[in-house]
Amino acid sequence: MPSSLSSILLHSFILPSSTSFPSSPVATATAALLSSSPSFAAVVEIELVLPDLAFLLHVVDSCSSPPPSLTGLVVLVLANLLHHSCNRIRLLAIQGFGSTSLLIKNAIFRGNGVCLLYREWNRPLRTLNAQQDHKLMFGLLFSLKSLTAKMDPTSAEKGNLGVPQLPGQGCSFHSFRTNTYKLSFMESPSGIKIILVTHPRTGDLRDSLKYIYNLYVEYVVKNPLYTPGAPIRCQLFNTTLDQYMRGIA
Amino acid sequence: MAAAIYSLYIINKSGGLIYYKDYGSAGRMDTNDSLRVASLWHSMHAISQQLSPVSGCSGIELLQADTFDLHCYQSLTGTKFFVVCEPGTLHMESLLKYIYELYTDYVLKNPFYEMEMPIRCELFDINLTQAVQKDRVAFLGR
Repeated sequence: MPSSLSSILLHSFILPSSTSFPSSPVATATAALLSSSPSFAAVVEIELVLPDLAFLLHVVDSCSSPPPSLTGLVVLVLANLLHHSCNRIRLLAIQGFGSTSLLIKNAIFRGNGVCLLYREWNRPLRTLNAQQDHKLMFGLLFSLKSLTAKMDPTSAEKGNLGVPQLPGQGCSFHSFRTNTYKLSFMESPSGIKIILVTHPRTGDLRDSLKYIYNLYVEYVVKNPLYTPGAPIRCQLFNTTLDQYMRGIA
Repeated sequence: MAAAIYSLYIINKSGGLIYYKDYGSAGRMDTNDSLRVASLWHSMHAISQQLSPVSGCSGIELLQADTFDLHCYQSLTGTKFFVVCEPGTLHMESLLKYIYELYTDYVLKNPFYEMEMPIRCELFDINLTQAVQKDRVAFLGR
Protein backbone atom coordinates (compact mmCIF):
# COMPACT_ATOMS: atom_id res chain seq x y z
CA MET A 1 0.00 0.00 0.00
CA PRO A 2 1.54 3.28 -1.01
CA SER A 3 0.97 5.09 2.25
CA SER A 4 2.77 2.49 4.32
CA LEU A 5 5.72 2.58 1.91
CA SER A 6 6.03 6.33 2.31
CA SER A 7 5.62 6.06 6.04
CA ILE A 8 8.45 3.55 6.33
CA LEU A 9 10.77 5.71 4.28
CA LEU A 10 9.95 8.77 6.35
CA HIS A 11 10.43 6.99 9.55
CA SER A 12 13.92 5.83 8.72
CA PHE A 13 14.98 9.25 7.42
CA ILE A 14 13.65 11.54 10.09
CA LEU A 15 14.36 9.57 13.21
CA PRO A 16 18.05 10.44 13.73
CA SER A 17 17.39 14.17 13.86
CA SER A 18 14.19 14.17 15.91
CA THR A 19 13.46 12.80 19.32
CA SER A 20 9.97 11.76 20.38
CA PHE A 21 7.37 10.44 17.98
CA PRO A 22 4.39 8.12 18.42
CA SER A 23 5.18 4.51 17.67
CA SER A 24 2.77 3.53 14.88
CA PRO A 25 4.16 4.01 11.35
CA VAL A 26 1.29 6.06 9.96
CA ALA A 27 1.27 8.34 12.95
CA THR A 28 5.03 8.69 12.69
CA ALA A 29 4.72 9.77 9.10
CA THR A 30 2.10 12.31 10.10
CA ALA A 31 4.18 13.67 12.94
CA ALA A 32 7.38 13.78 10.92
CA LEU A 33 5.95 15.82 8.12
CA LEU A 34 4.17 18.12 10.54
CA SER A 35 7.27 18.98 12.52
CA SER A 36 8.60 21.42 10.00
CA SER A 37 8.42 25.16 9.72
CA PRO A 38 4.91 26.57 9.62
CA SER A 39 5.25 27.97 6.16
CA PHE A 40 6.15 24.69 4.55
CA ALA A 41 3.69 22.78 6.65
CA ALA A 42 1.06 25.04 5.23
CA VAL A 43 1.40 23.19 2.00
CA VAL A 44 2.05 19.68 3.16
CA GLU A 45 -0.14 19.41 6.22
CA ILE A 46 -3.56 19.24 4.72
CA GLU A 47 -2.49 16.59 2.29
CA LEU A 48 -1.68 14.27 5.14
CA VAL A 49 -5.24 14.07 6.37
CA LEU A 50 -5.89 11.68 3.56
CA PRO A 51 -3.25 8.94 3.37
CA ASP A 52 -3.48 8.93 -0.39
CA LEU A 53 -0.07 9.26 -1.91
CA ALA A 54 -1.48 10.90 -5.02
CA PHE A 55 -1.94 14.03 -2.96
CA LEU A 56 1.62 13.91 -1.81
CA LEU A 57 2.76 13.79 -5.42
CA HIS A 58 0.72 16.84 -6.19
CA VAL A 59 2.38 18.84 -3.44
CA VAL A 60 5.92 18.00 -4.51
CA ASP A 61 4.96 18.74 -8.07
CA SER A 62 4.19 22.30 -7.16
CA CYS A 63 7.49 22.73 -5.26
CA SER A 64 9.88 21.93 -8.09
CA SER A 65 10.26 19.59 -11.00
CA PRO A 66 9.44 16.10 -9.73
CA PRO A 67 11.95 13.25 -10.08
CA PRO A 68 10.55 10.11 -11.78
CA SER A 69 10.58 7.52 -9.02
CA LEU A 70 8.41 7.35 -5.93
CA THR A 71 11.39 7.07 -3.62
CA GLY A 72 12.90 10.13 -5.21
CA LEU A 73 9.71 12.07 -4.58
CA VAL A 74 9.60 11.23 -0.92
CA VAL A 75 13.28 12.04 -0.51
CA LEU A 76 12.76 15.39 -2.19
CA VAL A 77 10.02 16.26 0.28
CA LEU A 78 12.23 15.27 3.17
CA ALA A 79 15.18 17.22 1.80
CA ASN A 80 13.04 20.33 1.77
CA LEU A 81 11.80 19.65 5.26
CA LEU A 82 15.24 19.25 6.75
CA HIS A 83 16.14 22.73 5.57
CA HIS A 84 13.70 24.19 8.04
CA SER A 85 14.19 23.92 11.76
CA CYS A 86 11.86 21.64 13.65
CA ASN A 87 9.14 23.55 15.40
CA ARG A 88 6.55 22.13 17.70
CA ILE A 89 4.16 19.64 16.17
CA ARG A 90 1.01 21.31 14.95
CA LEU A 91 -2.32 19.55 15.06
CA LEU A 92 -4.62 20.08 12.17
CA ALA A 93 -7.96 21.08 13.65
CA ILE A 94 -10.97 20.93 11.39
CA GLN A 95 -13.67 23.15 12.78
CA GLY A 96 -17.26 23.44 11.80
CA PHE A 97 -18.51 26.87 10.78
CA GLY A 98 -21.17 27.79 13.26
CA SER A 99 -22.71 31.23 13.23
CA THR A 100 -21.66 33.73 15.86
CA SER A 101 -23.56 36.69 17.17
CA LEU A 102 -20.70 39.01 16.31
CA LEU A 103 -20.57 40.08 12.69
CA ILE A 104 -17.09 39.63 11.41
CA LYS A 105 -15.81 39.98 7.94
CA ASN A 106 -12.17 40.23 7.08
CA ALA A 107 -10.50 41.38 3.92
CA ILE A 108 -6.85 41.78 2.99
CA PHE A 109 -5.93 43.98 0.06
CA ARG A 110 -2.70 44.58 -1.78
CA GLY A 111 -1.40 48.01 -2.72
CA ASN A 112 -3.25 48.38 -6.01
CA GLY A 113 -6.59 47.07 -4.81
CA VAL A 114 -6.34 43.38 -5.59
CA CYS A 115 -8.19 41.50 -2.88
CA LEU A 116 -5.89 38.80 -1.53
CA LEU A 117 -8.18 37.28 1.01
CA TYR A 118 -11.82 37.66 1.93
CA ARG A 119 -13.30 35.70 4.83
CA GLU A 120 -16.65 36.11 6.43
CA TRP A 121 -18.01 34.63 9.59
CA ASN A 122 -21.47 36.08 9.80
CA ARG A 123 -22.89 38.35 7.16
CA PRO A 124 -26.65 38.63 6.72
CA LEU A 125 -26.75 41.21 3.91
CA ARG A 126 -24.68 41.41 0.79
CA THR A 127 -24.24 43.95 -1.98
CA LEU A 128 -25.34 42.87 -5.43
CA ASN A 129 -22.01 41.54 -6.60
CA ALA A 130 -19.05 40.15 -4.68
CA GLN A 131 -16.54 41.74 -7.05
CA GLN A 132 -18.35 45.03 -6.73
CA ASP A 133 -18.07 44.72 -2.99
CA HIS A 134 -14.27 44.53 -3.11
CA LYS A 135 -13.97 47.45 -5.51
CA LEU A 136 -16.35 49.52 -3.40
CA MET A 137 -14.40 48.72 -0.27
CA PHE A 138 -11.07 49.59 -1.83
CA GLY A 139 -12.43 52.80 -3.32
CA LEU A 140 -13.92 53.88 -0.03
CA LEU A 141 -10.73 53.24 1.89
CA PHE A 142 -8.53 54.94 -0.68
CA SER A 143 -10.71 58.03 -0.66
CA LEU A 144 -10.99 58.09 3.11
CA LYS A 145 -7.22 57.96 3.43
CA SER A 146 -6.95 60.82 0.99
CA LEU A 147 -9.57 62.73 2.95
CA THR A 148 -7.91 62.25 6.33
CA ALA A 149 -4.52 63.25 4.93
CA LYS A 150 -6.03 66.46 3.61
CA MET A 151 -8.15 67.17 6.66
CA ASP A 152 -5.34 66.68 9.14
CA PRO A 153 -5.60 69.65 11.51
CA THR A 154 -2.08 69.34 12.87
CA SER A 155 -0.05 69.67 9.69
CA ALA A 156 0.09 72.69 7.44
CA GLU A 157 1.88 71.22 4.42
CA LYS A 158 -0.42 68.89 2.58
CA GLY A 159 -0.60 67.72 -1.00
CA ASN A 160 -3.66 68.08 -3.14
CA LEU A 161 -6.71 65.95 -2.64
CA GLY A 162 -6.56 62.71 -4.57
CA VAL A 163 -2.80 62.50 -4.85
CA PRO A 164 -1.87 58.87 -4.11
CA GLN A 165 -0.21 58.67 -0.72
CA LEU A 166 2.58 56.30 0.20
CA PRO A 167 1.81 53.98 3.11
CA GLY A 168 2.50 55.91 6.27
CA GLN A 169 2.62 59.29 4.56
CA GLY A 170 0.12 61.74 5.96
CA CYS A 171 -2.48 61.12 8.59
CA SER A 172 -4.41 57.88 8.14
CA PHE A 173 -7.59 56.73 9.79
CA HIS A 174 -7.73 53.52 11.79
CA SER A 175 -11.44 52.94 12.14
CA PHE A 176 -14.87 54.30 11.40
CA ARG A 177 -18.20 53.45 12.92
CA THR A 178 -21.75 53.57 11.62
CA ASN A 179 -24.91 52.61 13.43
CA THR A 180 -24.78 49.04 12.05
CA TYR A 181 -21.08 48.19 11.75
CA LYS A 182 -17.58 49.25 12.63
CA LEU A 183 -14.72 49.02 10.19
CA SER A 184 -11.14 48.77 11.47
CA PHE A 185 -8.30 49.35 9.06
CA MET A 186 -4.57 48.93 9.07
CA GLU A 187 -2.05 49.54 6.34
CA SER A 188 1.38 47.97 6.52
CA PRO A 189 4.46 49.76 5.17
CA SER A 190 4.40 47.36 2.21
CA GLY A 191 0.93 48.50 1.23
CA ILE A 192 -0.99 45.48 2.51
CA LYS A 193 -4.30 46.65 3.94
CA ILE A 194 -6.13 44.63 6.55
CA ILE A 195 -9.78 45.36 7.19
CA LEU A 196 -12.11 44.01 9.83
CA VAL A 197 -15.85 44.66 9.77
CA THR A 198 -17.42 44.06 13.18
CA HIS A 199 -20.30 44.94 15.45
CA PRO A 200 -20.50 48.71 16.14
CA ARG A 201 -19.85 48.38 19.84
CA THR A 202 -16.52 46.62 19.40
CA GLY A 203 -13.58 48.32 21.05
CA ASP A 204 -10.27 49.31 19.55
CA LEU A 205 -9.10 46.53 17.27
CA ARG A 206 -5.69 47.86 16.30
CA ASP A 207 -3.92 45.16 18.29
CA SER A 208 -5.99 42.47 16.58
CA LEU A 209 -5.08 43.92 13.21
CA LYS A 210 -1.40 43.85 14.13
CA TYR A 211 -1.79 40.23 15.19
CA ILE A 212 -3.45 39.31 11.93
CA TYR A 213 -0.64 41.05 10.10
CA ASN A 214 1.83 38.92 12.04
CA LEU A 215 -0.11 35.81 11.05
CA TYR A 216 0.05 36.98 7.46
CA VAL A 217 3.82 37.41 7.69
CA GLU A 218 4.35 34.03 9.31
CA TYR A 219 2.02 31.87 7.27
CA VAL A 220 1.82 33.63 3.93
CA VAL A 221 4.91 35.69 3.31
CA LYS A 222 7.27 33.05 4.65
CA ASN A 223 5.56 30.34 2.64
CA PRO A 224 8.02 29.51 -0.17
CA LEU A 225 5.19 28.54 -2.50
CA TYR A 226 3.35 31.85 -2.22
CA THR A 227 3.97 34.51 -4.84
CA PRO A 228 3.55 38.05 -3.51
CA GLY A 229 0.49 39.73 -4.86
CA ALA A 230 -1.39 36.54 -5.60
CA PRO A 231 -4.59 35.58 -3.79
CA ILE A 232 -3.83 33.81 -0.54
CA ARG A 233 -4.43 30.05 -0.64
CA CYS A 234 -2.52 28.99 2.46
CA GLN A 235 -4.62 26.55 4.42
CA LEU A 236 -2.67 26.98 7.63
CA PHE A 237 -3.16 30.71 7.51
CA ASN A 238 -6.89 30.26 7.08
CA THR A 239 -7.07 27.81 9.93
CA THR A 240 -5.09 29.92 12.37
CA LEU A 241 -6.99 33.03 11.38
CA ASP A 242 -10.24 31.20 11.97
CA GLN A 243 -9.14 30.04 15.40
CA TYR A 244 -8.06 33.53 16.33
CA MET A 245 -11.27 35.16 15.13
CA ARG A 246 -13.41 32.67 16.97
CA GLY A 247 -11.29 33.25 20.02
CA ILE A 248 -11.94 36.96 20.07
CA ALA A 249 -15.58 36.72 19.01
CA MET B 1 -11.13 69.63 30.42
CA ALA B 2 -12.81 68.92 27.12
CA ALA B 3 -10.42 68.77 24.21
CA ALA B 4 -10.35 71.22 21.34
CA ILE B 5 -12.64 71.38 18.34
CA TYR B 6 -10.73 72.10 15.18
CA SER B 7 -13.45 72.80 12.65
CA LEU B 8 -17.11 72.45 11.79
CA TYR B 9 -18.75 71.71 8.45
CA ILE B 10 -22.38 71.72 7.40
CA ILE B 11 -23.34 70.01 4.14
CA ASN B 12 -26.70 70.27 2.42
CA LYS B 13 -28.57 67.21 1.18
CA SER B 14 -26.93 67.33 -2.27
CA GLY B 15 -23.45 67.32 -0.80
CA GLY B 16 -22.58 70.99 -1.21
CA LEU B 17 -20.86 72.84 1.61
CA ILE B 18 -23.07 75.50 3.17
CA TYR B 19 -21.04 76.34 6.26
CA TYR B 20 -17.41 75.94 7.22
CA LYS B 21 -15.79 77.33 10.34
CA ASP B 22 -12.25 76.71 11.48
CA TYR B 23 -11.46 77.12 15.17
CA GLY B 24 -7.70 77.33 15.11
CA SER B 25 -6.13 74.32 13.46
CA ALA B 26 -2.83 74.37 11.66
CA GLY B 27 -4.48 72.71 8.70
CA ARG B 28 -6.84 75.52 7.76
CA MET B 29 -8.10 75.04 4.23
CA ASP B 30 -9.01 77.55 1.59
CA THR B 31 -12.50 77.69 0.13
CA ASN B 32 -11.92 75.38 -2.80
CA ASP B 33 -10.33 72.69 -0.70
CA SER B 34 -13.08 72.83 1.89
CA LEU B 35 -15.68 72.45 -0.87
CA ARG B 36 -13.87 69.43 -2.26
CA VAL B 37 -13.45 67.82 1.11
CA ALA B 38 -17.12 68.33 1.94
CA SER B 39 -18.38 66.73 -1.27
CA LEU B 40 -15.89 63.90 -0.85
CA TRP B 41 -17.26 63.29 2.62
CA HIS B 42 -20.80 63.28 1.27
CA SER B 43 -19.89 60.53 -1.21
CA MET B 44 -18.00 58.49 1.36
CA HIS B 45 -20.95 58.69 3.70
CA ALA B 46 -23.18 57.29 0.96
CA ILE B 47 -20.77 54.48 0.02
CA SER B 48 -20.38 53.41 3.62
CA GLN B 49 -24.13 52.82 3.70
CA GLN B 50 -23.79 50.48 0.72
CA LEU B 51 -21.07 48.43 2.37
CA SER B 52 -23.06 47.61 5.44
CA PRO B 53 -23.32 43.88 6.20
CA VAL B 54 -26.69 44.48 7.86
CA SER B 55 -29.61 46.47 6.49
CA GLY B 56 -30.58 49.81 7.98
CA CYS B 57 -27.27 51.62 7.91
CA SER B 58 -27.37 55.39 8.10
CA GLY B 59 -23.76 56.20 7.29
CA ILE B 60 -20.56 57.00 9.13
CA GLU B 61 -21.04 58.51 12.58
CA LEU B 62 -17.47 58.54 13.78
CA LEU B 63 -14.18 58.39 11.92
CA GLN B 64 -11.05 57.91 14.02
CA ALA B 65 -7.71 58.89 12.58
CA ASP B 66 -4.25 59.26 14.06
CA THR B 67 -4.44 62.96 14.86
CA PHE B 68 -8.15 63.74 14.89
CA ASP B 69 -11.66 62.34 15.26
CA LEU B 70 -14.51 63.23 12.96
CA HIS B 71 -18.05 63.07 14.32
CA CYS B 72 -20.92 63.29 11.86
CA TYR B 73 -24.60 63.79 12.46
CA GLN B 74 -27.13 63.46 9.68
CA SER B 75 -30.54 64.99 10.15
CA LEU B 76 -33.71 63.35 8.84
CA THR B 77 -33.69 65.72 5.88
CA GLY B 78 -30.20 64.71 4.80
CA THR B 79 -28.29 67.73 6.08
CA LYS B 80 -24.98 66.63 7.56
CA PHE B 81 -23.14 68.30 10.39
CA PHE B 82 -19.64 67.15 11.06
CA VAL B 83 -16.97 68.33 13.40
CA VAL B 84 -13.24 67.65 13.41
CA CYS B 85 -11.86 67.41 16.92
CA GLU B 86 -8.98 66.02 18.96
CA PRO B 87 -8.94 62.25 19.41
CA GLY B 88 -11.01 61.16 22.38
CA THR B 89 -13.11 64.26 22.68
CA LEU B 90 -16.31 63.54 24.55
CA HIS B 91 -19.88 64.78 24.06
CA MET B 92 -19.53 65.53 20.37
CA GLU B 93 -22.83 63.85 19.53
CA SER B 94 -24.76 66.09 21.88
CA LEU B 95 -22.87 69.13 20.58
CA LEU B 96 -23.86 68.23 17.03
CA LYS B 97 -27.49 67.83 18.04
CA TYR B 98 -27.31 71.22 19.74
CA ILE B 99 -25.83 72.75 16.60
CA TYR B 100 -28.70 71.24 14.66
CA GLU B 101 -31.10 73.00 17.01
CA LEU B 102 -29.27 76.28 16.44
CA TYR B 103 -29.47 75.64 12.71
CA THR B 104 -33.23 75.14 12.82
CA ASP B 105 -33.74 78.20 15.02
CA TYR B 106 -31.42 80.73 13.40
CA VAL B 107 -31.12 79.55 9.83
CA LEU B 108 -34.25 77.71 8.78
CA LYS B 109 -36.59 80.09 10.53
CA ASN B 110 -34.82 83.03 8.95
CA PRO B 111 -37.18 84.27 6.19
CA PHE B 112 -34.28 85.60 4.12
CA TYR B 113 -32.40 82.36 4.05
CA GLU B 114 -32.65 80.34 0.84
CA MET B 115 -32.62 76.60 1.25
CA GLU B 116 -29.40 74.76 0.36
CA MET B 117 -27.51 78.03 0.02
CA PRO B 118 -24.45 79.03 2.08
CA ILE B 119 -25.38 80.21 5.56
CA ARG B 120 -24.92 83.93 6.18
CA CYS B 121 -26.82 84.42 9.42
CA GLU B 122 -25.12 86.48 12.08
CA LEU B 123 -27.10 85.17 15.02
CA PHE B 124 -26.23 81.62 14.01
CA ASP B 125 -22.53 82.52 14.03
CA ILE B 126 -22.71 84.16 17.44
CA ASN B 127 -24.56 81.33 19.10
CA LEU B 128 -22.38 78.75 17.44
CA THR B 129 -19.19 80.37 18.72
CA GLN B 130 -20.63 80.33 22.21
CA ALA B 131 -21.62 76.68 21.92
CA VAL B 132 -18.22 75.55 20.72
CA GLN B 133 -16.27 77.11 23.55
CA LYS B 134 -14.74 74.47 25.77
CA ASP B 135 -16.68 75.02 28.94
CA ARG B 136 -19.98 75.03 27.12
CA VAL B 137 -19.16 71.67 25.53
CA ALA B 138 -18.55 70.16 28.94
CA PHE B 139 -21.83 71.70 30.10
CA LEU B 140 -23.67 70.04 27.26
CA GLY B 141 -22.30 66.67 28.14
CA ARG B 142 -23.57 66.82 31.68
